[in-house]
Amino acid sequence: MTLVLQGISRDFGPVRALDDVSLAIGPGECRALYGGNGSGKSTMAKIASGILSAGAGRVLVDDRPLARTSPAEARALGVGITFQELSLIGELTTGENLVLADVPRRFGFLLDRRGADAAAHAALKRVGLAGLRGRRVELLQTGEKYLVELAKALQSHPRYLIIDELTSAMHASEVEIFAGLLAEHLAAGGGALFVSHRLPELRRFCNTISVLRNGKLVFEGALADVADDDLVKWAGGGHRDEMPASRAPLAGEIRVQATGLRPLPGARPINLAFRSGEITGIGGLPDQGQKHIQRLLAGLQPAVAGERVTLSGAALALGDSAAIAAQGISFVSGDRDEMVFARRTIRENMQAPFVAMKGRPMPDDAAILAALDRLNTRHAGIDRPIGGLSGGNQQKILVARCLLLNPQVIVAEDCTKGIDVASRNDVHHLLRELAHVQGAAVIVTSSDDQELAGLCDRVLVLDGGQVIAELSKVEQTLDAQAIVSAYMKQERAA
Amino acid sequence: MMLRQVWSHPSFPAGVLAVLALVFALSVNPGLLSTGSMIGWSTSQLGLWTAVLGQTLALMGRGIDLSVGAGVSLVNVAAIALFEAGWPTAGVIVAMLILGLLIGAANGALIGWLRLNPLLATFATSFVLLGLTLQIRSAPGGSAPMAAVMFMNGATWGIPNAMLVFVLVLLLWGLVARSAFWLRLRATGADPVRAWNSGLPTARIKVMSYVMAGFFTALSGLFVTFCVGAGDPLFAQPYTLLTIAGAVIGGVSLGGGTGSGYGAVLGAVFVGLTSDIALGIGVSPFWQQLIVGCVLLTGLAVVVRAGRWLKAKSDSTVTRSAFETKGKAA
Repeated sequence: MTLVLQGISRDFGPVRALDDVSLAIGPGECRALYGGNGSGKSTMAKIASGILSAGAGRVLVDDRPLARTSPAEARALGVGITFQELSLIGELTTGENLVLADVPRRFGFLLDRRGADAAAHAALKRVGLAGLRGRRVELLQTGEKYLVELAKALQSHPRYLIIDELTSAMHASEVEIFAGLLAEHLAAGGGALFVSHRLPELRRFCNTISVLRNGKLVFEGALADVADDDLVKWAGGGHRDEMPASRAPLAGEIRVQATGLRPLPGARPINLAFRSGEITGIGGLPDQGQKHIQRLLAGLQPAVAGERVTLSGAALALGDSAAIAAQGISFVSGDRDEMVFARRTIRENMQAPFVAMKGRPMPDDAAILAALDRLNTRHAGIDRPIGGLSGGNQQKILVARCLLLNPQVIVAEDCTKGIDVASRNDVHHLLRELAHVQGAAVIVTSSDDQELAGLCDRVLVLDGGQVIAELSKVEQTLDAQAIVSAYMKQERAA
Repeated sequence: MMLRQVWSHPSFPAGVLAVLALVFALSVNPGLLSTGSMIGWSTSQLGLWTAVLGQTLALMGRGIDLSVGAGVSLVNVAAIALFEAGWPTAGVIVAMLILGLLIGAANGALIGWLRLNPLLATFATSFVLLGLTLQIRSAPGGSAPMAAVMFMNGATWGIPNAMLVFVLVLLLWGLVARSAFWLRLRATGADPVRAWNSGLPTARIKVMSYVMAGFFTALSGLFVTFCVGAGDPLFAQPYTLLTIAGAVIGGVSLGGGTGSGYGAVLGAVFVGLTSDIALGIGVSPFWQQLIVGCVLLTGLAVVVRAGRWLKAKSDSTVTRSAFETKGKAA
């Protein structure tokens, strides 16, 4: 009883994404699928679940072949998948999403509302979100969406679960829920393929590992037999996610001054200031107001009464994203759905912000290529659609775009979500350079406290829309433990 | 909570608009409430009200049906031709329903299986259907069985039979709206890629949505036949755009996935009333089109803006109350 992928190859245009890769997952086995961006992990996961066809090779589920490229068939054979980009439909309620593939019926054609609600309730209860089944998915918070995605994958009682970067946008408490369900699944004799960049999570959840590099299988074996350093080297970085002591910040003038901010509805107003040459992180439990602050600064959200922001003394046109971009604030989100023009070329995606900024000269191909080189971005020519690249490489292109823009302020919302260690380092180096050398004010959030601690010069910890701690690298009060204990202390006190 | 569900419903603005239009129409023409006027109004609108449900099915799956008008016309003239050939009424009804399903299946196959753009595919089929219609009958004429026409233009207890027939159509629609298929169609229209990734047979769902749309097209064509009593190759041609306008005013999204059939009917009622109002206030026929167009534009703008505003307001209430309950729980 195994899920077998045998001699899988797959080309995308001129790029060979997978080259004769085989792997197998037995009962109770959780196999890690590890590799750098564009190494073919996601492609492999998609072939196993019937989303993509294999150019060569075959998929066997308990000796039965997956004959067609069809997620429905893979599901019927007993394969469940959670998607990095989610398979939930925003306009439908959480409950409706859960029963879509297998709608409870009366008389064969009518929707059995009571049955559907009961099924959704049972499935959502497992992730602790049964109360949200009447709410449209687009209104959920990010971590909740990923938990619902997990509940949906488990809904068909799959024997093999394929988990593609599910945990990278989850907070620690949500990862715990996932861990419990995964253990249950494995104990019941199921198998799992776990795709993730986070080494501690791989170590925690998996017992075997397959490592891909540029579409080729470079290692397969027990996870206990390999050291982290080897894994990172294989992933393409060659060096660990080192956290160099950042050079002394320029301690520049106050660039952004925000007054009367109400990060959460009904919260007391707060004032924040961001200096040039400084990377400021905004941390805390999910959805404590981080999003409001960042989106407000980027002009993507209208101001609440009393909110006022100045950039180098001049008032910002809050709620007008184009005007704010023209004033020199660049926004990068880890949510590629809302950032990239997937069908357009890499060049056009790099040029997009310049179209909005009248008077700025368009960057030429040489400048674009130079910016991409700085981030070691793998691509088959800037004339190709950005959508053909791996998620991580798309993300790097969005960050490389900031190099061309040379903005006064960069607002980065979990911008390394789902990208590998090496690329993450590249992005970090770039953000540091933009701040410490070019003097930009950089404002970041991350679902990973370790990342905040390593990257930032200063971290503000939010809780309920209030700043409950300010940690600084210069004063040596900043590390991941300090961030966690700041918000956990608050949690316990409440 | 219940109240919010009413005002945040995508059909709410269309309902308000339809009521306002009705009040206005009555104020310019109080005689509208007489049984005779009601019969005239409902028999002239029944075909449109039914056809808009077919359009709703197509729109819901992120498609569109530009062949509605031609399809209704084809059913109309084909039915008259069969009557003239001596077919019994029941036989004609069954044959026409099958014809409608075939038209829908053709559109569905082009869009779902050959993956042609729905706008262009149905635009092309509309000419095929129009050509067939003109082959059968190039000018108005012929006649439907008197008994059926008398029934459709009659009234029971002061209520026009056409309206009673439409109640049956709405009951039929109720089955569609409560079906498992409707949920899967909404999912497919809202996000085809994610729906497919979720294991839905999206191509088959799209084909089915057009087949069902064809059924409502056939019903509409039969109603036109029995209400008008004759075959007219051009009578229903405006239905194509009127159904789209009605559906959109009724809260059905052109992008697929949102809206309801009842809202679309309210939108179609409003669209139909505008011309009645223009007639009622007695402006010169040369100004009528202009006035109807302006009223439609206003209706569209009001409904779309108000719908968005109400939805945003409802959503912020939902997320805020979620935050407050979370705060209490902590």
